[in-house]
Amino acid sequence: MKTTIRTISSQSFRITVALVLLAAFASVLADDLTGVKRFVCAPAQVNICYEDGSCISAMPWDVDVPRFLEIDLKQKSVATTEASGENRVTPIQSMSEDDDAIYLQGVENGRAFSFVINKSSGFMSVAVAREYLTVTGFGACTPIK
Amino acid sequence: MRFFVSTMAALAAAISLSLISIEAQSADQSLAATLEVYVFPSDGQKSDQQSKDESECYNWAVSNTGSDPFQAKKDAEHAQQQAAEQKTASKSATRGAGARGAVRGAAAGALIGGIANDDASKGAAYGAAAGAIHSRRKARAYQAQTAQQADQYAASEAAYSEEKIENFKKAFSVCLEAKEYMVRY
Repeated sequence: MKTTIRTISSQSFRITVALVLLAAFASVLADDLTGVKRFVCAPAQVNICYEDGSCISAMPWDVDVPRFLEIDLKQKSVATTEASGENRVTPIQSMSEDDDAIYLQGVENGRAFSFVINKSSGFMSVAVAREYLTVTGFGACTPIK
Repeated sequence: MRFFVSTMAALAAAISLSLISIEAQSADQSLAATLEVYVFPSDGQKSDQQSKDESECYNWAVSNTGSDPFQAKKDAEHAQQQAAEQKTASKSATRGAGARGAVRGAAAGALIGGIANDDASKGAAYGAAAGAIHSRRKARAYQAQTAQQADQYAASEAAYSEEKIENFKKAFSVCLEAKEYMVRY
């Protein structure tokens, strides 16, 4: 029992550290994701563009992009972290990868999304399109071990 | 030589006289012509008489119908201009609406499906950008409504002025017909 608790707290500690590091250096921190099935990503700034051609920059949470995204390639899901308490999840409908990057795509609630995550750097590029506007953003991902 | 000079002077005088007469005639006809009313003197009235009669009938028609076609045209143009100005004003007024409304707007639920949601359900935590989306949508609706109203106003003013001109033409024709002119419009 004690071992289990220790394992859980150790794992939580590692995630917390990763999250804190990502929060602090979201735009520059990245990691090698080769062979990794679960990783956490921190979107940095996002850009919102409207159909009239105007665009604004915002922070991710301004448009309800979570501070951290947990991507599980086995489960084919993008989810909020447990620590956020948001309990939001989106299934990934299309998933592929090549030597350089992981490509994730899907549709949810009138939004189409695409992720391109560089395997060697962990750099993430995201585009979400809904009627009349698009949200694009960049961030960094690091493995959850 | 003297004969040549006097002939030339006479010719020049004749030309200038005929030019003046044409000018006067076109100026006389311009009233009915501008109104697109065609007037023919059935009783052989001279052009200066026709001009006088047209002028009298114009004044009579104005006082009887209460509308001046030239003024009605001006009014319609003014209404159209006003409508255009109103449209421009509503466009520029709503241009900054996104930024002004940037304190409200948020979403919950699905992860990606909740991004850039304009569902106002999170109280004070609404994101600035999501608020801008909501605000822009409202601004667009307002702009469309204003444009529609402006168009309707301009169209009704145009129809009203057309009706006024039509009534005027009727009165103008009746008057000229009473003075032995054949009138068509």
